[in-house]
This record gives sequence, structure tokens and C-alpha cells, in this order.
Amino acid sequence: MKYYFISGEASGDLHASNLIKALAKHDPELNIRAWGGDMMEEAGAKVVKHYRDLAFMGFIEVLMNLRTILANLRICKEDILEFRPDVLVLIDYPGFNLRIAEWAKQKGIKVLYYISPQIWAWKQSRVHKIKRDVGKMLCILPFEPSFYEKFDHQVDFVGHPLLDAIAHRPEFSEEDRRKSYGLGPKQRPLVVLLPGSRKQEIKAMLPKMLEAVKQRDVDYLIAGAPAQDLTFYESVAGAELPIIFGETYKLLEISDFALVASGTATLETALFNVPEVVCYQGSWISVQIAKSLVKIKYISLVNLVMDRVVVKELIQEEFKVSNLLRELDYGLSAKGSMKMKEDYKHLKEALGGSGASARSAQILFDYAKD
Amino acid sequence: MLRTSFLIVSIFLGIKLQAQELLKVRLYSNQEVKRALVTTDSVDFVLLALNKDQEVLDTIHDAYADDPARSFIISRKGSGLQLKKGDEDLGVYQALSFHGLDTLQRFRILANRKERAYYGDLIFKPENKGIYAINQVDLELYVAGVVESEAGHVPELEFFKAQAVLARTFAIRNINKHAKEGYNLKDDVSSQVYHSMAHYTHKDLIERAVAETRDSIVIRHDCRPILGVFHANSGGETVNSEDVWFQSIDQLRSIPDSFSVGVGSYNWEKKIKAEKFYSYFARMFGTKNDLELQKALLNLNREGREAYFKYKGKSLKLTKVRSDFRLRSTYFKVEPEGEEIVLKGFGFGHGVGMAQDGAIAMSGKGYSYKSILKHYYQDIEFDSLSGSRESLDFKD
Repeated sequence: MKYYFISGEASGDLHASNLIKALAKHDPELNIRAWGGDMMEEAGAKVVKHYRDLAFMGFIEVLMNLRTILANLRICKEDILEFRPDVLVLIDYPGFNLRIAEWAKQKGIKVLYYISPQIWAWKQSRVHKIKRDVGKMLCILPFEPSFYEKFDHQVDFVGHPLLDAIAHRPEFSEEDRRKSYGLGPKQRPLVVLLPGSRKQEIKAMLPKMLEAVKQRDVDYLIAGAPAQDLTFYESVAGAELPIIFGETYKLLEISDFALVASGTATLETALFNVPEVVCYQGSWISVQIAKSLVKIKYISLVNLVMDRVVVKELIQEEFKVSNLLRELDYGLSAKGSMKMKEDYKHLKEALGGSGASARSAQILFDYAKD
Repeated sequence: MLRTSFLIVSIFLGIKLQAQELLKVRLYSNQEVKRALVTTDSVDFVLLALNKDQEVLDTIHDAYADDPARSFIISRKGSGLQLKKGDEDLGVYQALSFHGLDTLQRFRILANRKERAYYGDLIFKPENKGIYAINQVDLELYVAGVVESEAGHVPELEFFKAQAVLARTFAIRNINKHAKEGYNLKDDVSSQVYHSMAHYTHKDLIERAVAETRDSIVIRHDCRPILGVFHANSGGETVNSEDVWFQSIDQLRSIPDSFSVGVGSYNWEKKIKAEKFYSYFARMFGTKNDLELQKALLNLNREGREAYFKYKGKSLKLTKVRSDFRLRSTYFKVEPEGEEIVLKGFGFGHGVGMAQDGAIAMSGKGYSYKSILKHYYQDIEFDSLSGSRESLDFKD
């Protein structure tokens, strides 16, 4: 069968590559053309456009790159028509992909969407477009199907692909890895700081995170966001920072506790079994907008999935050094660490266990044959 | 030509790309609504049943764009809302939503004999004995509607841009003001006037101004949105905030404003019986209506705009005089004319912040909207909401 995959981000590249590997087991005549990244290429797709050339996020960037985006949409549509896939597989990246879905529906091309946009949090109105344009929607969070049901739309819950991604990590030696980060043999707990990827968040959160860890007898490392450079971090928090870029998973694998800015990283941290505290500090304006818009009880996916407080969330005025220290002490204590790790087991069950890629591949293959 | 067409595409896509639910604006907010007629336009809509917290419970009905009978009547029934399509009863609900299935969805609403047209979705919920009608609309489309309602009369691009930035700033500053009541802003002067989408006058220029200033707001040094008040004409000098209200605000200082001179509603005159006028001041000051008082009044505002009339160690706020005599502004000179006095006045409105006439004049002379706003508001900076919106995404 012929499949056309579109993913526009690094995480999409990862999850799509696992899906492709699983699909290969069902479909011996697999023929995949794709917009994506290196991992998809490695899994067997012919990648014709790299996601690095697509990533325009903010509105100003979008406006400034409007011609590129319009051209991309046009090129993409022409390429799909020429390839004539049995199914168009869209992975996350809703700004671009929902537009392509609308067009594909009109052209009579089957559309499967892997990783639903997080419409339950905000921009709910997209649910109707999804209902109209997407033939199969695969959700990765357990509460999403019931959200769609309110709008009379049936979707599939396949489990969270991060569990697969984490299950397939290569073996490693803790000592070697510590050494590669400039740490000697383990004498005290290792705390990792994940202050987010956006400049404003890093500025607001990193200095307080550092202030907290420096008051305890711990080793600490900072997970640097690939989008920012070292000079920026140094301008925020001073020189000689123990910062490691683009190796968040490797850092989590050897950490005992994490201070994490809200985002997907809060879930990843939990799936790596690392006790954590979730942090958020934004501008007055961001917080006001969020208050008026976002329709959810918690800011971390961990608590949202469990529908209760599993990890502490320190938001705005709660985000201060004294509270960070309290959570750090609790998370490093035997009792706190055990409690969180126990809760994480239930979290993994709620997320469907591993096998999201295999389940998705089965649905995709059946849909293609249908 | 290429540039023009690119601009048009940008404006169109500018609205279309980002259209998203952001604001809930209560319509007809200064009156009681008991019954409303809604006609959906432009795209297909679905009618959703909501609970009291405006969460979706179920889909009730489809309203197709090509159905000529797509008008619905909403009225109170008991503690709920009755929904009818013509004579057909579609049931009673805790709350309702008309939800458009594509961007740039439009509807018309008729209530209290006034029909209005808006972009966005429409929510109804019971309140006291009546109904709240709430327009859920993209911020940028709301801003365009406000610019038309508050300032749509003179087609000057940079002036419209300044108004758009102020309208957006106001909306963000007050976004949680009515959160407990289930909406963000009202559609009357207590928030900002929003009596329609940009629709009737200079629609294209207003939409261009909104698109070209998209996401831009005015902030103070501490990064909070400013209080962006404005008025029609300063009479040549704006007013300190504390001279009209109580609080002194750094951004709202009195400045000379030559741009307002001689344009728009710069001048006014009002004749009042001299006896009535003088005795008013005598009463206010608990003094005699004598020549000394009259002479003092004839000297008022001769040296420039004043906030108070001062007499024998006491002072009276001119905003009080303005309200009692229903004057266009507090900036007037007094001239005797037989048995009457003539108030020769300058400016229109409270005089604080931006003067619309002055801003229009500046725009006509080639000043940018940023220069206009920096002229009328002190110590301001510009900020973009795009970062704030982006940080709402749960993915990193």
C-alpha cells in the first residue's frame, strides 16, 4: 500500500518512525513518501521535505514566512496528488495538517490523523473540522475519546507513543554517562532542571531553580533546549552552567529528581520514573489569557491523565524558592520518591501501556485496505 | 502589484489562520433580553446543548448555510431556554451554543427590536428573568468591530491602527473582569462599544489596520497593559488622569496637543442665563453672587487649561461643572453677553489620553500609529500577544 506521511516536528518524526516500523510488519509492500525527519527516513520512508524547513511557530514568524508557508502547502498538495496514496497519515502538527486534511477530504483522499490536537484544552471549535475532514482519529490520551463523544464523534484511543519510545531505549552504563557529563562516581542525588524551551519561560524560571538546587547537597544538570543557545542561558543565569543540549532523555535516565517547566516534559519525566515538581511562571498577560481560555483543572499531563494531584504544580506566585526546596526535599526522601514512583505505575497503565505504535499500525493498515 | 496582492493575501490569511475562540462578549449588555431571533449566515452551524458552566453536553441540531429557514427563536421557559425553529419546538436547555463549522462564521441577532451582525459563535444562558446572549469571537475580529463602533467615521489608516491597538489593550487588560458571570467583556461603554462586526463603514481599511497591528498591545514598564482611555478632542491640551478620576497614572499626563486645534469638534459654544450660571458658583462656594466672583469666573482658563475653579481658598472640580451644565468639555472661557454668558469651549470629552481628532490629524500628516500613541501616552512600550498565546500550547 501507498502511504503519505506528514510530520512537522522532532517529536512527530520520532512517533511516525515507530509507527512506520510497526506498519512494516503488517504490510510487506509498504511504500511511504513523507514530510518528516531523519528517523522516518531511517525507518524506511522516502522523506521529500525535512521538518527543519517547516517550523514556523509564532504569528509574526508565520506572517513573515507567509510566502514560504503558502508555497509549502501548494507543493505538498501537488506532491500528494502525484503520489496518489491509499491513505494520507497526518502526525500532530495541527496548524498545517488540519489545512491539508480539509483539502484531502475534498479530493476524496482517506485521512488518518495520529496524535489528536489538544482541543480539550482550548480551540475546541476544531473538533467539528476534524469530524468533517478526518476519517480516522487516533488519540493518545485516555480522556480524549469521551471529549469527542460529546460532539458525536467516534475516535480510537491507541495509548501514548512515548511509552514505546521509552521502552525501546538502548542499554547504557550510568557511570559512563555521568562521566560524559563531567560527573564523577555517584555520591549524592542528581537533580535535572528542565526550564522549558521559550526564552521568556527560561528567564522566569531558571534562576530560581538554580537558587534552590544550590542550597542542597545535590549534583545538578540543566537540560538545554535546542532552540536556544548557550549565550542566552549564560545571560540569564551566569557563566559556567552545567548545561547539556538536546539530551533530555539521557539526562532523565540517570536523574533522581527533576524541576520541570510545564509541557510534554512533565509527562516524559514521569515515564522515566523520575520524581518531579512542575513549575510555571509566565507574564501577567500570559496568565490572564490562560485563565480566561484554558478549560482544564491541572497544567501537567500527569495530573490531567490521573485526574488527581500526582505531581505538585507550582504556578505563578507559588513558584518560589522555598516551595521548590520543600518539593525537592520531599521528592528525594524515600517516602516521597516511592509514592511518586508508585503513582507513575498507574499513570503508565492509564496511558495504555506500551504498544501504541503497533495498535495504530493495525488500525492504519485496516483502514487502508477498507 | 505584487506587493498589493501579497498584502491582501496577508490580511485574509491573517484573520483566517489564527481565527480561534478567545473572547466572550455579552451582547445587549445594558438592557434586558427576554427573547432573541438568530439567523446563521455564511457557513454551516451546529446547535449544541451546554450545561450551566457552558460545557458541551450534546449536539442538538444542524443549521445548514443553504437552508432558507435557518432562523431560531430563543426565549425563557422556566429556569431554562426554549429553542424553536419556526413553529417547531426543539426543546428546553440549560444553555445553548450556535457553533460555526468554519472560520469567519457570521450570524445576525435580533433582540429588543435591534438587529446586529457578528462574526463568531453565539452562546445563550438564562440569567435572572432574562437571557444572556454571548458572542464568542476571535480577539482580532472583536477589535475590528470595536474600532468601527468607537471610531469608524474617518478613514485614516494609522488612526485606525492606533484605535485597534487600544481596543486590543483594553480587552486584554479586562479579560477576566466578568469571569464569574461567564463572559469577558460587555458590548457597551462600560467595556468598549461593540455593536457590530466591522461591517458598515470603512470595513476594508479597518480590517487592514487590525491585521497590520495584529497581536500588538501597549504596555507599561512592568509589562502590564496600560489604561488606554481616549476622547474626541483635547481642545489643544490633554488632562491628567487624577483631574478627572481619582488616580494619578504615569501614562496619562497632560500634554500640549496642537494636533487637536482647529479640527473636528475643537470648538463649542453654549449660552446660559448669567444669573443661573453665577448663582450656581455662589451656591457651590457658599458665598455671595457678587462682582468679585463674576470677575474670577471671567478669568477662568485664560492662562491655559485648568482642572479646578479656585476662589477664596476653595476649589471646585471643573468635571463637576461640566456634568452639571452638560458641557462638552471642562475647557471653556466665560464671556458676558447681555443677560447671558457665553461659554466658549475647546475640546470634546474628558480630555484624558488620546484625542481622536488629534490622532486623525496626525495620521493625515503621515505619523505612524506608534508615534500617535507615544504622543498621547507617556512611558509606554509595545508588546505582542503571540508569545502569550503560544505558551498556551501544552506541547513544548
